[in-house]
Amino acid sequence: MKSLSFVATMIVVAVSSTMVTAQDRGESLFNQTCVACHTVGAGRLIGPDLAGVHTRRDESWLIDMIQSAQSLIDEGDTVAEALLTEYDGFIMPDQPLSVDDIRAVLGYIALQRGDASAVDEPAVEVKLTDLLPDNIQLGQDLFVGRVRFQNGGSACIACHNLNTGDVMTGGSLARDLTDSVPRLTRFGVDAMIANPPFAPMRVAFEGKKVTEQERAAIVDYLQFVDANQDGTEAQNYGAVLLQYGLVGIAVLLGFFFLLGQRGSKETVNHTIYKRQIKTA
Amino acid sequence: MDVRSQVSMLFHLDKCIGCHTCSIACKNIWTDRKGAEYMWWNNVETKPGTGYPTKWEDQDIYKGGWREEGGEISLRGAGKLRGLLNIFHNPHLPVLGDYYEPFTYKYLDLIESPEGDDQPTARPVSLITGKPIDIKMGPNWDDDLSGTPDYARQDPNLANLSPGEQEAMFQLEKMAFFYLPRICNHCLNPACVASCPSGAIYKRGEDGIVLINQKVCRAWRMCVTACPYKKSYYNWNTGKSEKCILCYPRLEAGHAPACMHSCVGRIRYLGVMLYDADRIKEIASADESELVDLQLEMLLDPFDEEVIAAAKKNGVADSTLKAAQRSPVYKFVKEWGLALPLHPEFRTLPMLFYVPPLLPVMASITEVNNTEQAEKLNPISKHWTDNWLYDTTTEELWGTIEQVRFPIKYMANMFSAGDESKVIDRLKKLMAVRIHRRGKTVGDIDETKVATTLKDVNLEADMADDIYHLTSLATFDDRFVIPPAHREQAIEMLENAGDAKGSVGFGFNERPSRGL
Amino acid sequence: MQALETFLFIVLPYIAMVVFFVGTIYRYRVTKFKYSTLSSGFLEKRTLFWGSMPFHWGLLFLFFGHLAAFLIPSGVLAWNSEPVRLLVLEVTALVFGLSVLWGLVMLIVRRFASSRIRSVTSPMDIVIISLLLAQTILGLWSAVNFRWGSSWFAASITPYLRSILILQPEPGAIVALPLSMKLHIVGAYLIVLLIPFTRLVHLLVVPVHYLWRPYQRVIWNWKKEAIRDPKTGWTVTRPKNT
Repeated sequence: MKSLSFVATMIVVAVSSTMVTAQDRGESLFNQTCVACHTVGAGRLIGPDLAGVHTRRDESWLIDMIQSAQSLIDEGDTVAEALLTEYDGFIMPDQPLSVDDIRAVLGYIALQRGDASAVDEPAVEVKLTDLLPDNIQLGQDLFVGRVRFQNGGSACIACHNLNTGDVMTGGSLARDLTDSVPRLTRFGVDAMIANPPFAPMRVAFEGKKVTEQERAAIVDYLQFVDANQDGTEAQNYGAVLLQYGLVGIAVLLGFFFLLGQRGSKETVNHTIYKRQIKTA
Repeated sequence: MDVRSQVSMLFHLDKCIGCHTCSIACKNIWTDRKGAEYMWWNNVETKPGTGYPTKWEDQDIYKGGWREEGGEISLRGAGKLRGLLNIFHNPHLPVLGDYYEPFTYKYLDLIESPEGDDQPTARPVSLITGKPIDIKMGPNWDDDLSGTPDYARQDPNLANLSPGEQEAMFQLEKMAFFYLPRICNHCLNPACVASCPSGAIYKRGEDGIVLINQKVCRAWRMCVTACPYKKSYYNWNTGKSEKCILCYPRLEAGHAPACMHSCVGRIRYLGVMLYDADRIKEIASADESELVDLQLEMLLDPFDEEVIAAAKKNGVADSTLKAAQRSPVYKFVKEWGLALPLHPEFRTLPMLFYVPPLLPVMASITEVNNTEQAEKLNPISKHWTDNWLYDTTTEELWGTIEQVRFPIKYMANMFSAGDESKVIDRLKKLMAVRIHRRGKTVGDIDETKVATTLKDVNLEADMADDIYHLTSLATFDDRFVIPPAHREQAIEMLENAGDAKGSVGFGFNERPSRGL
Repeated sequence: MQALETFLFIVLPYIAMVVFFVGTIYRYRVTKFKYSTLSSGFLEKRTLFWGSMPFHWGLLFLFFGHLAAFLIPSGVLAWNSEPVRLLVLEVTALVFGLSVLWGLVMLIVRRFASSRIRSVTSPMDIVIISLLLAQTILGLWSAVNFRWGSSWFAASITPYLRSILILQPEPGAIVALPLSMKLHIVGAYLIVLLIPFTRLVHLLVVPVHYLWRPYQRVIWNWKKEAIRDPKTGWTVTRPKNT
């Protein structure tokens, strides 16, 4: 009984602490979550321009779409399917937002007049030849972590892989970034780094914003990597990891074997026990 | 000088008849429980023999006790660093096979089996699994030299005896053995206390009894390894170690411990010893040849004014001092110098002393003419034509000590870390007392001869009479001088005895089973 | 789905912690006699070596590894900034993880194969040992399939665990993690929850204090100096052993 009431108190504390006024919340949620892929009135990015979206779609559809686009498609929603085709099969990631959160965001969107200056213009395409080698090198160093992010974020390689022989295999928690620039555009990649739409990444960089210069270097590097794919697969460190692990455990067990030589292996009575007759 | 008192014990091995009554008394009171069936807080071993658990004296196997290196002692198989590093798996922990798997028989099958062609049998079942087993070993399977090649010849004390000496011990019809009853020694420098990672084991300040707090014990089992006498046992059912508690509930009530009370041969003595606790470390780290002498030196004279003053200052009760002055153990150990500790080389400073047995040492005299004796016998009685005898004559007192059938070296390995002179000294005293008494009662020994004999071993006639009296005629109150427990001043006693019961080494307030 | 996740990642950790603390204190005070692991090395020692040693030493390393990623995430990230060091850390962790798996399998085999050990096995032992096995396999699965976990644990899971501790749970990052990781986290909560009711209590009484205490321990039934001092008055307060 004691423990139940304690838990209840905990939950109340947790919920109430997140209460902020709806208006501010809508704006901050939009800037945290949506801005990487969407603008309000500044044209399409990775996802559609959201200006006037509250008039185009009804609210319950929007809530479903934001919470889980995948399940909406699975249900056979035609609008969602059309959007999927339009945006090259890039499914909007699930957002862990409550219905109240979503209403707050929609409220914020409705208040915007489609002011184009609110969001930066999409960057113009940069030619490969214009990329500075220094910047590419910095991008690579940042990607693998050799140079740490100024604000202490984790290196990209922890979760992302790049299919290139230059660097060590990256993590497999998140998406392979080899073709990220053509897929998302330079601006899209930059926006995603600045405001990660995926929860694990957002949490990882919370309070550890990647600076503009660092973002630019990474984008340059990613573009470079995409352009210089020679078709050779990077070494699969996942399999190597397991092999190393198996070798290591063999060594460790060998060490334990040596340790196990201490002390007697048999009871002191084993010569007597050994010759005793056993019943079946 | 930090004077403390210790309830100390003395076993007179010449009197032990190996009846195991002590073991049974102890088992019936304390260890007749699930998980404790294999424990023998008190056991009686046949020597030479391997004892219980098998070869417990061989510390190359069990790694018990202390080891001295450059004047510093450390635990051989446990200790702070070694103990904690081995905490996940202790390679030196004795296992059940070193003792025996406890068993019982399905007696009811004998009367409840349905009628059939075959006689029903009571199959043995394991007391651990409850399933039928082949009994591989039991307590005292080496009793009275049974299974001699397996047991007696494996005795670790034979280690540095020459093959010839060993052979002499096992000659058929000339074999000799004696019994060695063992309980916890309640040592002054206990290895079990030192090895316990949880700090569950402690020595009681007032009477020196070593106990395991059952509520603090966490089953690391280091004490089982560390005790060189293997007198700390692990209860596999409760997950706690248990050991001899010197029947302290009886002691506190003024009764002798059950094993001592029930002793048929009256071999056991119990009394207070005063000792200087400041010297424990120094003496435990001394050179092996000095261990026995220094330990005896540490035991203080309860009549010495200085000792009494220091003891009082240290809170030793008057009644305890009085008990110390009457202590039979003090007389045997210090006053008469008749006793020795068991395996002093383990450096735990055991406070259980043994009077080494004289009988198995008596020489066998070859080329004795028995014809004269045989003629005197009743013609129909059986007589032996052997031409050897035990030397019970007094013709030549010390002449036969070199011809003993039981190498002194063997006894010295047990009682004096290999120093034969100490054992011979004790045995000569025992012999001198016999000669003195024979002179008195039979009168066939020349008085001057008796006198020189006594002088030879530094005994007075009075003293010899005292030894005789305490050895042979002592009453219950002479043998057990138990100091009052002073309950009125105790911390523990002010508590509800029921509450404290489980935490002091015996009895349980909650079921000693492990459901969680 | 969302309700379930809310329960598992917001409510469950608090339930686990409360049960852990209340249960531990209750058991320590009331059933102190049973407060240890029921060691069975006395009944069977050889297989125990091959189970207990790899299991415990592996677990010790992994425990401190997880703890480091939780307490000093930036330190772990700094270590991982050199790819070779990252690889060394990951391989070492994997080796100890495999060591735990090996040990656990040996322990399970031993527990069921030896009739003596079976007779000292309680139902709770089986519950906790299955849970530990599942937890180990999930951890290893995640380590191999979602590599460089030492980095993303420090970056993404540590903030969540901290948010739990400061009573402002933010499970967003966890919800988006792969299933094996989510189960691994839930498994950890369940283990914490069950610790007071299983033999795992022994890890709360690791006898580190042994290193500092003197070897010999004497307990007095009365205060030996005070008792002979006539100035000592009658007191209702019991003297205490130190």
